Amino acid sequence: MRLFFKSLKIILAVAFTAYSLFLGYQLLLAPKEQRFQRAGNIHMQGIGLSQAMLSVLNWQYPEYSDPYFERSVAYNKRGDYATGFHYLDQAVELQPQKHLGYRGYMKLRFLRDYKGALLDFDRLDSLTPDVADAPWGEDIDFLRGESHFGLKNYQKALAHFEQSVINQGKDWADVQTFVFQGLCNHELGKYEEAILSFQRALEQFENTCEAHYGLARTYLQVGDTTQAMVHLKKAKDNIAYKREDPYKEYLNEIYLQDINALDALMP
Amino acid sequence: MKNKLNIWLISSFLVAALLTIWVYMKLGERVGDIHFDNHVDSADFIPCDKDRISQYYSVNTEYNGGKKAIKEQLQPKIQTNGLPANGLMTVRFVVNCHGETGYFRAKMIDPDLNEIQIPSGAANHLLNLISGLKDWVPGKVQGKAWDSYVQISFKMEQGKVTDIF
Repeated sequence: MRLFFKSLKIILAVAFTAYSLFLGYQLLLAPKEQRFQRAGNIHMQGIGLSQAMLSVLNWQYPEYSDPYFERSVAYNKRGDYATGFHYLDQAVELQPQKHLGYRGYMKLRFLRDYKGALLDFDRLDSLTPDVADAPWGEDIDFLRGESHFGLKNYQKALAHFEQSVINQGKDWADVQTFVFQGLCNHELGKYEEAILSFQRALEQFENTCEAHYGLARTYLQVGDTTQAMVHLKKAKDNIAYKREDPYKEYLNEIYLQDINALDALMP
Repeated sequence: MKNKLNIWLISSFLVAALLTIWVYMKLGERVGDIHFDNHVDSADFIPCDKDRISQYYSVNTEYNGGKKAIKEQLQPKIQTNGLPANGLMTVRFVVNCHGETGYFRAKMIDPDLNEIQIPSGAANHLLNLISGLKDWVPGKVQGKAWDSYVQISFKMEQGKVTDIF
């Protein structure tokens, strides 16, 4: 009986020790990339364990930028921008080429800090003169154009949207590039150019409701109510295809109320 | 020998237990979670499941008419008395599974993205306006209405709210 209890104690002690060593290894000693992958898993985002694992990585590898970047994500998505950008700034300081684009993107889309976004995009561009960068998967000149659009610098915005079409190729450019060109031209009072830009968007994707809505506004402006009504109906019919994002409202996002309000202006 | 074995068993058990408790607690913590505070929160608002409040972008919480409708309802009534003149104020709150709102919290950053303390009581006007938004469509998980955290940002420039998103 005594031997049984002694054996049981040894088995339990070994099991507890192995368990603690395993956890300790996973939290403190496993290769840093492996721990980063675990902590940065989308299902772990914002969970205290993930943040703790990332903070351990920051402590052990202060020159490793990715954990700073990853720590920022949940804070920024959840509106704690002071904390989020505190971490993101550290990632940018360590590896500007890798993180500037994302920071610019976040300033543009999450903060609508257009000047700050432009500073980051321009700095990134200066670091990579031979490359057309794609911060967070979007063409850098599209994002710079959008930033200038936010600042109401429509002429500069147009120049960047043109460059974005060159960067991506006419057939591969984001259809919203042409929509923004139309919006800029409309704001500048260049209605013929605006119509051409919106039509280019429709050549690429005929259900682009923002382009139909833009055409309806512009045709109404120039007094072509027949075409305005045609495109207003198409905008309404295609509202399901509208540009939207689960996180934030786009600068050129349209709503059914916009279409109905324009409809009310029709003669 | 017997004592050493007992010490090993007890200490390994304690270390394993402490580690497990720590991991369990860390798995329960979430960035941005808001907990009931009887000094600022109404006892009338109750989340449907306070332990499982998702983020708006994960469960597609909406306001009828979108951000445009929110802007149209808030903009004409906004007063900025007492608020910092420049920066971005973000109000975060819970929309429960019935579309009711509560647990309002405000944070603000200056144009350099540093946190600014909002003077006590200065945000109340905005929080009251937001609590007057009554057309929320709760988020859903597998067809079931779900509690979620939602946020609205106010861009302040020279003492005026120039954008709501």
